[in-house]
Amino acid sequence: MAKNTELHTASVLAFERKLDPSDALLYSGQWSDRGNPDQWIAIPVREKSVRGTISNRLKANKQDPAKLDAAIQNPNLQTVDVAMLPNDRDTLMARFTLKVLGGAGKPSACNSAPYQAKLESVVSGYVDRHGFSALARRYAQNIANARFLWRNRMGAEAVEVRVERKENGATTQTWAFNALEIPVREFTAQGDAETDLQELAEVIRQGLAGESFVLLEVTAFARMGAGQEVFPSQELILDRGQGNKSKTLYTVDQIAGIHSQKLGNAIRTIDTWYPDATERGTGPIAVEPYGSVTTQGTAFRQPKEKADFYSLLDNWILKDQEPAEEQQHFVLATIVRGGVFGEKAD
Amino acid sequence: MDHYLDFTVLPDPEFRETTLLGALVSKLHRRLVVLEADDIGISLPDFEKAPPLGNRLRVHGTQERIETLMQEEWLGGMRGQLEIAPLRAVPAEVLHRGVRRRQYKTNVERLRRRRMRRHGETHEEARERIPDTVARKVKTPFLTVYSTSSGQRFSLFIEHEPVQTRCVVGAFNSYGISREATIPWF
Repeated sequence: MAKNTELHTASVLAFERKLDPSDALLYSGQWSDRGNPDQWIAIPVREKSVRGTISNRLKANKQDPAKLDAAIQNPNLQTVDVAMLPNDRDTLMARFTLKVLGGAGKPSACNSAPYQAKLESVVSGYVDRHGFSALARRYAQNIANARFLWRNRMGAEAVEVRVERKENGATTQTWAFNALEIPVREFTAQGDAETDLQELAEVIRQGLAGESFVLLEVTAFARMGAGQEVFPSQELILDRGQGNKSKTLYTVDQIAGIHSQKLGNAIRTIDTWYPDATERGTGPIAVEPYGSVTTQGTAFRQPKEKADFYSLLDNWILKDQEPAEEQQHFVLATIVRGGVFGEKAD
Repeated sequence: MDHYLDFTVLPDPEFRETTLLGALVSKLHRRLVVLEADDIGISLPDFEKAPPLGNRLRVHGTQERIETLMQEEWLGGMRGQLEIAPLRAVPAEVLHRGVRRRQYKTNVERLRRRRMRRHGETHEEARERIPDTVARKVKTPFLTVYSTSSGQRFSLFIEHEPVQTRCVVGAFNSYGISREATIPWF
C-alpha cells in the first residue's frame, strides 16, 4: 500500500447518542395506587438547615462575652437540600422517556470521506452478522431491573417498572416488570419476565436498526416507606461561595429529578467484556471508552492492554484486525453511547 | 446462637462495600424491629481486612430464628448485590467475642455547650476547661445506618472485643448488637 493512500483516523469524528433519555421526575403516592400515576404529587426539594456552632477563632476585639453570646445566638448554619416522601405516602415514582434512534454507524460529523466509508462498511458488517439484538437485550435488562433508580433501588422493598411504547401519542405496547426479580449482575431472567424482556429488546433493536421510530415511556414505582428520604441527582456546584448551600439537589420546575446522563449511564451498564471481568467480580460496568469506574477510581480498559475503545476501533478500521466478538459488541455500544472520538492531526 | 448465616456484599461499580454493608445492616434493623427480636446478633468476620469492616456480615441465632428472619423478603433492592451462604451450624470448637457499639464524645463544641448549660460558664471558661485537644480522632470503623424510630442517618461505630473462651448470654438490640452478650467467633 502506498504511503499517501494509507487510511487515517478522521480529525473530526463524532457520534450522536442513540439512546436518548429525558430527565426523570420524581413523584410520591401509595403503592396500591400505581394504576393512577396521574394522581401522584410531585416531590419537592426542600432546604434543611443544620445548626452548627461558632467554632472559628475569634478576633481579639470580638472576645467580649456579651458579644460572643450574641454571636452564639446566630449559629453557623449549614444548609443542605433533602427530598423526602410525605408522611402519608410510601412510594416513589420516577418517570422518563427514552428515545431509541437508528443509524448507529453513521457519524454526525466526520471530515474524512474514506475513513467514513470504511467505518460504515465495518459497522454494516457487524450489523449483518449480529444485528443489534445482543445490545438491545442488555439495554432492556437495565430498564426492567430499575438500575436507573440508583440509590433509590437499594432502599426499596418492592420495585415495579412499567414500560409503554408510544406511537403518535398513543400507547401501543406495555410491559410491567417486578424489577427486584430481574438480575442486575447478569443478563438473564426467569419465566414470563424473560419473554417480556425479549419483546422489549426486540422493540429497542428495531429502533437501533432504524426499522421504526421508538419512543418508550418508563415509569418506576419504588416502595420506600412513608416519610423516607429519596435520592434525586445532586448538582455539582463548582463555585460555592461562603454561606451557600453545601448540597444542592436537581430540580426541574421545582420537581426533584434525576439527570438524563445518570439514566443513560445506568442503561448502558452492560459491559461485562472488560479484561479480567471474572477475576474482578465487579459485574457489568457502564460502557465508556476507557472503562472508567469513578467510584473505584480505576479504568478497567487500559490502553496498554489494548482493551480500550480507541485501540479496538483503530485496529478494526485502520488495520483490518477484527476484535473478538464480544469486543465488537463493546465498540458498537460505545458508538451507540456517542461522543467525540476524533484524533488530533500531528 | 448455634447457627449462622453469611452475607457477602459483591464488588459493585457504583457503591463501596461499606455503603452496601451499611444498607444491609439498615435493612436487617428494619426486619429485627418487625420481629421484635432480641436473640439475633451480628458480627463482621472480615472486619480486620480492608475495606473497613470487610465485606461480610454474619447473622447469629438459633436455626429456627434465622429461618423466621429469612421467611419474609426483606432484602428488597439489595438482593442482587449479595451472595447469601446456606444456613449453617456453628462449628464445635469456637471462641467467643463481644461485638459492641461505641458512641464517642468527640465534638468539643457539643461538650462545651453542655458545660455552659450545666455550670453556667461562659463559652470562654468552657473553652479553657475543654481545650481543642480533647477532640479525639476515632479510628473505629463505622457503618452509616438509618434508624427506624427517628428516621435519622447515623454512624454506627462497631468494635470487636478481644476473643475469649467464655460465652456470655444476653439480649441483642434491634441492630443485632448487645452490650454484654458474645457471639461465637470462628
